[in-house]
Amino acid sequence: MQIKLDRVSFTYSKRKRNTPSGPDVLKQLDLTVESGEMLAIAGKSGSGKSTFLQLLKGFLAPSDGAVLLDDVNPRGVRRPELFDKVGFIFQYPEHQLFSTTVFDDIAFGLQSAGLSDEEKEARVRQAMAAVQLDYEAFKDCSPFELSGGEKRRVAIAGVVVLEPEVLILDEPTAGLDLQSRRALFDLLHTMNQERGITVMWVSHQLEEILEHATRLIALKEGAFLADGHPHILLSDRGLLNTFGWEEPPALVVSRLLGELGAVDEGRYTAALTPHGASEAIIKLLGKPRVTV
Amino acid sequence: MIDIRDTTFYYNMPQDDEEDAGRKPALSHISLTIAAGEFVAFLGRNGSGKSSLSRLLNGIELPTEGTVSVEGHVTSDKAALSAVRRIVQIVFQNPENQQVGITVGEDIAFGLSNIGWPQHDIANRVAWAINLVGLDADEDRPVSNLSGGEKQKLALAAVLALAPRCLILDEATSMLDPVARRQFVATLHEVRKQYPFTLIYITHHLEEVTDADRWLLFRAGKVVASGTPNVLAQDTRLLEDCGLELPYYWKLAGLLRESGISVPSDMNELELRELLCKSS
Repeated sequence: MQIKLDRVSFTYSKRKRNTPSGPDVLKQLDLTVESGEMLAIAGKSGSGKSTFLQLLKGFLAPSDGAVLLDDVNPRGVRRPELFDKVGFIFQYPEHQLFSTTVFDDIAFGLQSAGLSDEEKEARVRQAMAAVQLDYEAFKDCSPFELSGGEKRRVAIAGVVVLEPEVLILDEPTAGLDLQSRRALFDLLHTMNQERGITVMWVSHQLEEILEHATRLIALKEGAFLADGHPHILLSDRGLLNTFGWEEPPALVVSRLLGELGAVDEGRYTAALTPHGASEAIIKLLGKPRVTV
Repeated sequence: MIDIRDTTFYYNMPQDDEEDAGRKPALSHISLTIAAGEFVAFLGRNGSGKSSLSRLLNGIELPTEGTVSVEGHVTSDKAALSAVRRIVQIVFQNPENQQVGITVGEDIAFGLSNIGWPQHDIANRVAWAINLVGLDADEDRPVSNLSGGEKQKLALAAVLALAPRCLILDEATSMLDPVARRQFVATLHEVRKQYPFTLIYITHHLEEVTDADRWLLFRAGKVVASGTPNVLAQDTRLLEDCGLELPYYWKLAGLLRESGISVPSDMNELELRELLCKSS
């Protein structure tokens, strides 16, 4: 599903008589996200990221402009159910688990779908398979007995069960350990590649963005300051300074090795893992010295 | 300052019935001491026991077996509990759970009047704490108006106002953007120069604790390793097992050292540049 923002502005406080209107949290945003993108959104707290995400899900209505899903404005045609195609996963979604079993928690969103018990079970099985939770082993567990990473996967299954075409996640790896972070991104890549689901997520971890995103949008004071490939944006001195970011070491080391002729200066391939970098360095140091 | 002796902890006491037979404790036979002024990182996977132990340290939870004592006060001694809670303060990952005031000033003052700070000095102390953490907000500013980073600084100001001798940060920076996180950590170290309180820092990101005095690695309710960052960084398998990944330059340095190239284990960009430029 394609998502388009057409001159979208948003302000929280409506204009009242004799008072100035509140400042725009989002300012005339234009954006097109094609089906199947892996898109990261970065920016300081308070830059408008959460507001932006909530507009995409239809939780908030633009003050001006329109959000179009496959060229249709769900609000314009009074079909808010079109926003159901957008799955939204809040920060720390596991805080919203409440049912006594994993099955009931995941199936909760299907209550109004008018499905038979068999259909419901099939959908829950599918969603649990998508988040790599064994159906038989977990369906009767209490969500509260699970580890942090497992709880988060249950919360995500509760959104996946609604078969969204776009998945929006607000800082999905915050508070997770290494293994859970890896498992979560394996899952997002699988859904992205096998089902063509668009994945959009907010992240404060530049290394995570570099590793997993094919597109990065940098938001500042309600406007998109940059939109492009993470490898290019995250080595852009001007942009890094604007955001106060430090260039990810993978890019620094790759550039340094590129300058010394130790690796090809490919634009998209130049984010070396420590292993790749150490091999290049060992090769470089092993080379006979060139005397001029 | 903190002495933990053979401490085991269950969130709910196990009963002698079958259902509970296989239940595991959150912490199992932990013994360790933390010195006054030490900066210790609690590290490990989700559910490994880091947060449980920190909850025992300020008496939010009490050990099922063993003892936890703070400056000689045993936490399970009811009479000592208020002293323990004065000495040990915790900042959690979500500052909003801790904020009670409508305005910045009220929020800090609340904790102070709670512990019986002299009424006539509270206003001074509030101003001092705001200034200390470099929170760019006057005390009348509504809490709801602060950004995430500012809320976290406010939470820090509110606990520092209470003059804790031990501060526990339980993933307190996980919701901050990289800039706010760097500022928060810098603020913390600045404050510690003046008031060298004991710092216990819980995180999943080693780059935040490269300058700690000691790392403690938790696994399945036990402390499986304790040592300086430089020493523990050599054991990448153990770190990985505990859900941790070394920072990029540390990893690279480890790989180079394995191949006989001498670089410091906490190599930085500059040192790498020198090494490479010397050779070419």
